[in-house]
Amino acid sequence: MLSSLHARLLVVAGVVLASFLGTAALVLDHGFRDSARDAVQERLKGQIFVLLGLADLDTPARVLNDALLPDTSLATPESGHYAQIHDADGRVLWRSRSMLGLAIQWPGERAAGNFVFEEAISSTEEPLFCLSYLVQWETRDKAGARPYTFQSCEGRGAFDAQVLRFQHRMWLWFGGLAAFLLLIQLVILRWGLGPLRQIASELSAIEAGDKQTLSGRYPRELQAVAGNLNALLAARDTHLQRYRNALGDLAHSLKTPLAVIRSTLERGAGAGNIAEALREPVDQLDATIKYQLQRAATAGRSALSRPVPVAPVLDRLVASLRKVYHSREIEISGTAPGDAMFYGDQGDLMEIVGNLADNACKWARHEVRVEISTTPPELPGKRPGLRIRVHDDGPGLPAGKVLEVMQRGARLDQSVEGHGIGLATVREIVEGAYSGRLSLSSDEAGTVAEANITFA
Amino acid sequence: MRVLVVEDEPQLLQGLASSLRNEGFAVDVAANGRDGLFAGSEYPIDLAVVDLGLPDLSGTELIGRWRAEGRTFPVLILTARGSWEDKVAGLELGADDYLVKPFHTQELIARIRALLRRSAGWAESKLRCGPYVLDTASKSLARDSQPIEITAFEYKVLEYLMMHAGRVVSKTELSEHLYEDDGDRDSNVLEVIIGRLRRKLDPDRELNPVETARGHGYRFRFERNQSTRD
Repeated sequence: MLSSLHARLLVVAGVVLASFLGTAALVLDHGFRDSARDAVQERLKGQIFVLLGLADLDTPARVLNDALLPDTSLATPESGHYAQIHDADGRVLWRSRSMLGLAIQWPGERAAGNFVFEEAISSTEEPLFCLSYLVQWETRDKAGARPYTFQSCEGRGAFDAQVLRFQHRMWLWFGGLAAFLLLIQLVILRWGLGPLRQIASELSAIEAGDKQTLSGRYPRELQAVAGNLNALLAARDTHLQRYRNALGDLAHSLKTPLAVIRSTLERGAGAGNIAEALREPVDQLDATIKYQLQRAATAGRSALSRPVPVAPVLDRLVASLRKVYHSREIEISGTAPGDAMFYGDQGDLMEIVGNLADNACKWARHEVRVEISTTPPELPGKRPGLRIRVHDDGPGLPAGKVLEVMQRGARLDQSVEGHGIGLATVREIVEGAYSGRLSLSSDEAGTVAEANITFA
Repeated sequence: MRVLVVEDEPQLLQGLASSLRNEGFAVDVAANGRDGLFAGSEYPIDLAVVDLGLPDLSGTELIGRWRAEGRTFPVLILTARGSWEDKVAGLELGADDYLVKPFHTQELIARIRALLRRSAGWAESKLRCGPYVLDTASKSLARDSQPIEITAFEYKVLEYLMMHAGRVVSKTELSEHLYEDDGDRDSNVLEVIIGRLRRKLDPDRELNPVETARGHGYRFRFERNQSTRD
């Protein structure tokens, strides 16, 4: 699920937006309710002050003249505005005319001088906000102060309607805002992720064969990826070309020995002659296949290849060669600096060192030395190159033979032993795939093969 | 010397087996990895030739299993993949030598002989014990540089005894390493051969090169002359 970046970012943005707007709405709703309640309380307090001013508790028959009330709503039945005065025993001394036919519970004994705001329910089930105030009234009959409770109430209907109106408006605004922000987010995402879509479409164009490389201009973060993809594509093309060439050469160079074999068979020579006549073309077929396949398998250098530490590879090869040439009693040694790196394919490095060292072992009398060293880069700041020297104390090659030996793999017209196809393979890798140089020098003291490789 | 060949190509397997038998080896064959694993674990073989590209149990796996079981006989791998990466991987896995297909049978036989000598502690192709020299390359015997004619089977017996010169070799061990099948074994035949060998090696009965360790087997009395490695 959520396999697209687009969907992921949108979901995250949506969740953040919803939680932010939700929290804001809750806080606002709370604030609005609180201030609306405060307003109700203030209004009821004012009414109680009016009642206190108008009440005459010394004449129980006419505690308060309704006609003097400034607010007519107290005189209108079921207006939602009510007021009453109780004495200490809870007896009603006066109630507003609006309370005709309904009763509101006496709030009970309270401490004097405090306003108490609370919610109540009238006898007709109308929910109310009530504010009550206990006053100590000095009466004229010198009997001392008497407690009276003044109570002013208001139906919740108006309050609830106000809150509901506010909520409606708020959700409308917030909903609109959320939709607008999401739309903005969508636009930002489309714009921000545009380069990725472009890469994808260019890649499918390459897949379809309409394009060779990624050509678009990309933001900095993607430029490196595009560059690497291009390098990969270039490497693939080079490989493909190498395979094609190798297969072409292979087909071509297999035909000659096959023709020899066929003509030998068609001549119907005796069994002994056939075996003799087939030996050379079969050897030639074998050598051709080995050489051309190795050419095709050579990976070559590439901007993407991971650097291969040289020393461990050399150690493995030396250990293997010691095992193979165990009975020849040849001293095989390999030295390489710990920080020497081969910026290419590990298989190529193994072919170069393995073939050179193997050849040396075949010719050596007592000793084979493989010395790998780094060479300073051609340009400052570039990667250092490698020098691979393989020395053997074998009989050496006559001067004229050196060149011939180097060429032999390429001509493939002789049966191959010793310094044969191995060297041609190494030369193909070093000079073909890594644009390095392979040289061979030989005297009575032995033969030195040296491969110099530079890395771009 | 008893050699196991594990190779899934039947024509190559038969060809190799008959070439090796002609060279005087006792040959066990296995056409797949499982049979090879069984043969290598159950029979007292001296060396195994293993094709890396086996269909069921791969050659490298097979060698790994043998080594895990503690089988230490030398292994020569045959592979169609000639890259150094593959060769090194095979050698690191416990093989002792490799040969890339297609190979010359003579080359394979030379490598097998070298490995067998090496595993017995001989560094040279000539086994020299006292006045006797057994040339494993030309399969000829000489005493004080005077050639002695021996038959192919006498050679096999003497080669095994001289390879392990100085050590007592039981009759069972000798027959197990010289014959492929249990059915062929007949200790009387061995005794006859040993008797003939003694007459050829020591016609004057003064050196007594092949001792009888009563109840145990035979011992080539002269220790190897050359300095040995391993």
